[in-house]
Amino acid sequence: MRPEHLPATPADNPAAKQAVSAWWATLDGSHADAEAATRRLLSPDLAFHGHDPVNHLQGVDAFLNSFWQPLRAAFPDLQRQTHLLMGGASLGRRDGDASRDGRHWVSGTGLMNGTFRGDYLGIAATGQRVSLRWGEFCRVEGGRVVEIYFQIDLIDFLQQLGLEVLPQARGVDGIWPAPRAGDGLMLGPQDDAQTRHSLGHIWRFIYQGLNRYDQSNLRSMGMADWFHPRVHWFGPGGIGACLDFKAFETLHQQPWLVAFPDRSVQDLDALIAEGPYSGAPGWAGVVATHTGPYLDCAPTGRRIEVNGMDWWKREGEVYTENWVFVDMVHLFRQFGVDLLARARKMASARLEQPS
Amino acid sequence: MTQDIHHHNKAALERLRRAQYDYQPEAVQSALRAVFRADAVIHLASPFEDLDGPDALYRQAYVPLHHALPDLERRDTIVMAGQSPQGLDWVGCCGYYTGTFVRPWLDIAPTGHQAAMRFHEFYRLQAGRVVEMQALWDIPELMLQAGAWPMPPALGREWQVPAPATQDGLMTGPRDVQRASQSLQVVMDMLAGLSRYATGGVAAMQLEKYWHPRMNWYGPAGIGTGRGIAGFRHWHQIPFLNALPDRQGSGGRGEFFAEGDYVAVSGWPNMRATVSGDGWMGIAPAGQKITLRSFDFWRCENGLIRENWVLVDLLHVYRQLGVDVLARMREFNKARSPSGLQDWS
Repeated sequence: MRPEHLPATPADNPAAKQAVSAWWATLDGSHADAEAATRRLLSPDLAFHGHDPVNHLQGVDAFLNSFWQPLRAAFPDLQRQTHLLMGGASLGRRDGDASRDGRHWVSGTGLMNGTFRGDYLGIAATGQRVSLRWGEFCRVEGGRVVEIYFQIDLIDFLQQLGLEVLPQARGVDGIWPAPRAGDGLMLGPQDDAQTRHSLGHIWRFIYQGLNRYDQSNLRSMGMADWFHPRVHWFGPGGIGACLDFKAFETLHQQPWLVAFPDRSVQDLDALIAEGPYSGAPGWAGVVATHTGPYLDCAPTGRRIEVNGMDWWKREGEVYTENWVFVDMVHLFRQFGVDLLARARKMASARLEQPS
Repeated sequence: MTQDIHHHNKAALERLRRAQYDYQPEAVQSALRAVFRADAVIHLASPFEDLDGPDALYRQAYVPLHHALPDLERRDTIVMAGQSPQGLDWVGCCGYYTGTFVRPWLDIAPTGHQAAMRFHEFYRLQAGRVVEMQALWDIPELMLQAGAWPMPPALGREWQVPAPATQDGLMTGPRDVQRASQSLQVVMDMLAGLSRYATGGVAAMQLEKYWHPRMNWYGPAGIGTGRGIAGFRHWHQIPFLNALPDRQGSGGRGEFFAEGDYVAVSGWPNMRATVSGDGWMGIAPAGQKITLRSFDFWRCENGLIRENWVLVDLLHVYRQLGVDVLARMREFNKARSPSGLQDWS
C-alpha cells in the first residue's frame, strides 16, 4: 500500500523556512531583539513540547520565561549552528490519510555552542564550552509558528560535563555531524519530484517497514532493504552512533527490540520531506511495554512512551544518514529512574557540601 | 596463651594462600585438595555460584583465571579467624588477585596490563579442614579496568582499595578474646543503630557514635569508596536506603566473627530487600524482591569503626532483576572485534 495522495508542498514553504531561520539567528543576539522577534513570529497561543523536564509549555510567555531565558542564562553566549533546515506538509498518520494531516512544518537540527556559565536544570555550571545537540520542528500557520517540538540531548550534554548517568553506550559517543553532502540547509525551493519521492518513501519505511516486526525475528522487518550497508546512524547520548548497518542492527536495534518487543510507531506529530531529506517528531511516537533489560535497566513491565525525533537522508531507495533523538530522561523517568537527580548527585561531589 | 583452634585454622589456610601467592597449577590444586574436604560446599560469586568441591573450584574458577592472568598472584591484606555466634569456626581473607591480564576471562577483554580483582573469602573449617567456602570476587572491577562497563557508573570513587591503614591485618600471635569481643560489640551496636533508620530516620542511626570521623567505606566496583561519614552517606548509604528501605539481615544467616580489632561477616545470602525506590546504582525500582550477598570486614580503633571493606555480589543482584550484566558486556566485545561486525549477529 502507498498513500493515495501526498500533500503538496505549501507555496510559502521557502518564506516559512527563511522566517524560522531568521528568528533562530535573532535568538543568538540581545535579549530584547530575541524577545521581539519571538513575539513577532510565534503565536501568543504557542504550544511548546520540550525535553523532559521542560515538557509542555503553553503560550509564548511560558516559552520565553520557562524555556528560552533559563537556557540563555545558563549559556549566555549560546550560538546556534544549523546543519539541516527543511520544511514541508506532513503525512504523519498511520492510515496515510493526507486529508487529515497536511499541516506545514519547518524543521532543523544541529548544535548550539556556548559556555556553561549558569546552572541548568539543577546541574551546577562548570564554565566549560559545550555543544548542545538540538532538534526542532515548528508548525507554521498563517505566517506564525503555532506549535514547536524541541529537544536538547541532555545525556550528551551531561557526558561533556563528565557526568555519566547511563551505562557505557554500545555505539560511539559524541558524534553529531552535518549531512555529509553539505546540502542540508535548504533555504530555497527544492525539486518537487524528489520531495514527493522522499515523502512516500519515508511513510512506507515507518509504517510498512518498522511496524512489520513480528516480535521474534529482526529480519522480519526487512531493514536491510531500507538502509545502505554503510549507513551512518547518529544515535542519541546513551546509545551512540552506529557507523554501518551491521552496527545499527546489532548495537541499537536488537537491544531496543529485546527491551520493547511490542513497540510500534504511532501517528506522528509530523512526518515531512523535502528534497532527499525527511524528518519526524514523535512525542509518544513509539509506545511499548518495557519487558526486557534496556541499557542495563531491568525490565519494569511498565507501559512507556518514547519522545523522539528523526531526520533521514535518502540516496536512491536507501537511507545513508539518520539523525536520532530519544528523550532518555523522559524514558527513564517512566522506568522510575531520575537521571537528572543522579547527575545532580554526581555533580555535587565537586561541591564543598555534597547533597 | 595456648595456640587455639583459630590459630590452627589460619595455619591450614596458609598453605593454600602461599600456593596461590606463587601460583603454580599443581601446587594450587594439591593445596586445595589438602586444605579442603572433598565434599566441601563451595559458594563463589555469580556467575560461578555453587561448585562441587575443591576440584570443581580449581577447574571452573582458578584454571580459567590463571589462563587469563598467567602470572597470577594472591595477596591478602586481612586474614582473621573466629567463631560465629552460630558456633561455627571461620577464617576470613580480604585481599586481591593480581597479574598481567593477557587473555579474556569470562569474556572480559584483556588489558595487557597488570590487573587486580578484590576478593572477600570465608572458609569454615571442621577438624582442621575446609568444609565450606563463601567467596566474593569483584568481577566487575576487571570490567572497569578493561574499559567495558555495562552498568550505570558509580557514585563513589573506584580505586585500588588499600590494606588496613594500620598494616596489621594479617593477624598472628596469641588471641585477645576480650578485644575481639569488644570489636564485635561495636559492629553489632552499629548495625542495631542502622536498623533503627526505618522508624527513627538518619538521627536514630547515631552514625557518629560508631564511626570514626575519618572513616573509609570501601565498596565494590559499581559503588566505590566513600570517605568520612558524609562520603559514606552521600555515595552509598542514602541511595541504598532510598532504594531498599525494608532491607534486613535475613534470618540470622550472617556469620559474624572477630579477631583483635577486626570483625567480619559472611552469609549466603545475608540480606534481603525490596527494590522500591530510585537511586541505588541507577536500578529501576519495580518492587523486585532480592537477596544480597554482602561481605564485610571492619577495623575498629578506640571503640570506633575506622575502615570497612565491602563486597556485594552485584552480578547476582542484577541477575535477580532480570539483567545479565556479562551478556551486555559481551556486546562491547562485538564492536571491538578487529574483524568488524561481519561474523556475528
